[in-house]
Amino acid sequence: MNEQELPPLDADTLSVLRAEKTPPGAPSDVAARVMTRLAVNLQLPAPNGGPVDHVAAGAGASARGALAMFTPSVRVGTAFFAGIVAGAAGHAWIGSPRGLAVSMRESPALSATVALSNVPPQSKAEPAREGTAPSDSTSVATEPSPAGSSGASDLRAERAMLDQAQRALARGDATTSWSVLTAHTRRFPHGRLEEEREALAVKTLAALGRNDEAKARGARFRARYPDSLLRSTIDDTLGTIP
Amino acid sequence: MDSAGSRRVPGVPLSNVRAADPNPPTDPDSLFRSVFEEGFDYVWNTVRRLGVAPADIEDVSHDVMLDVYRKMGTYDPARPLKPWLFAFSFRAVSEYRRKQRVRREVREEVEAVDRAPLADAQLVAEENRALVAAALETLDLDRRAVFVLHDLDDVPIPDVARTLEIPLNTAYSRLRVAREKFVKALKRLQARGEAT
Repeated sequence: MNEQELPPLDADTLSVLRAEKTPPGAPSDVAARVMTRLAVNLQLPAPNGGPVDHVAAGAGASARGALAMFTPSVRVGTAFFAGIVAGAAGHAWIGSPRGLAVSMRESPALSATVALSNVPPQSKAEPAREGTAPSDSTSVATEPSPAGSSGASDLRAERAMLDQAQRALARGDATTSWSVLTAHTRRFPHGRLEEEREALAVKTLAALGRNDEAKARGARFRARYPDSLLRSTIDDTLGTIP
Repeated sequence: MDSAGSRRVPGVPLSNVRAADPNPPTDPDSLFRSVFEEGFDYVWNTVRRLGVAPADIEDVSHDVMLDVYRKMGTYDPARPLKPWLFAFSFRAVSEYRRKQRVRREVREEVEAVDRAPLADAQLVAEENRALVAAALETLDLDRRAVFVLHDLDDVPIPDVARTLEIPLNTAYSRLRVAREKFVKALKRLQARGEAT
């Protein structure tokens, strides 16, 4: 068979198809979010190879700055927690001279670079598991989000909490990290960053010496997210546990 | 936005841009950035056209670009970008469907598309896009892929076959059946819409 033998499409069908031949592109915030995730997960450098744009840096910390906060062993595989600033970096990345100019002010990811004090205070204290965690100086809300709630404000709050937990773990304070992760679990049991939380939970449990729990949680992670980019992080962590 | 749905230079393939660029990207990360700028809209639309649920399009598009990054070593800037990206999109959507564990029964009964009173050209275009989306739902993924590549993306059939790694005759056969089913579904939708 060749193309000439194919029955052609009639004029009416061609007319209808014409609209779909020039569809709108992806919403700009979608492209930025995807680029943010890619930039963080793949640890892509800024367009000029140097530090991230200071506009983004001014909103909190540059992606590189955020990464520099981590010890090398923590940095690998956990750079995604720089997503708060990497969101802004993602926009800068896309907004390189050859690409789409995206106003940084319009970047939802930029506004996600919130100080932890912007996380709504909790209405009542929720003790960490086993009651060993000292209270963190920054209170976090623990009321679970309404089912199906997935607004931008929830995502910002999720990122803020996970960033707090990550920083605590990075400075050796696994207890505080666990406290924040517990609060995150209660507030966002199935949030958008659930996968990232679970990965960090495995690392935190291992750091706390709760090896059996770390192994169990790691096994659940592997079963639930078999193709996760964070698998190597989980595997590395569990590999250190006797 | 050009016909490829690209954000960057309308209608100019990446290969041409790179040829005209006095400093074309050579390092993998910069090249990937160029591919992303050029092709993300196309990936997003392709994932949508291949039937991924609206809530999942972003995640699947991300997975496509992640795979693209990993396979940047296979990218030939001299060749058209769309078919190359389509192959990644098709694989990702196939995997998405497998993970969903949803038995996608080809819907013979198509839902009527609400035909609001025609107001202007934009409304007509939106309405037509909705008709296309609904009619595409009646095609299984393999035929849908051939139809989208050839009749929407204007990729020649030999390139369609190469992209999808299927024999040429299979590509023709799938396109023939896809066209028949698509037109049948489209006429049904239009008839229902006019009846409401």
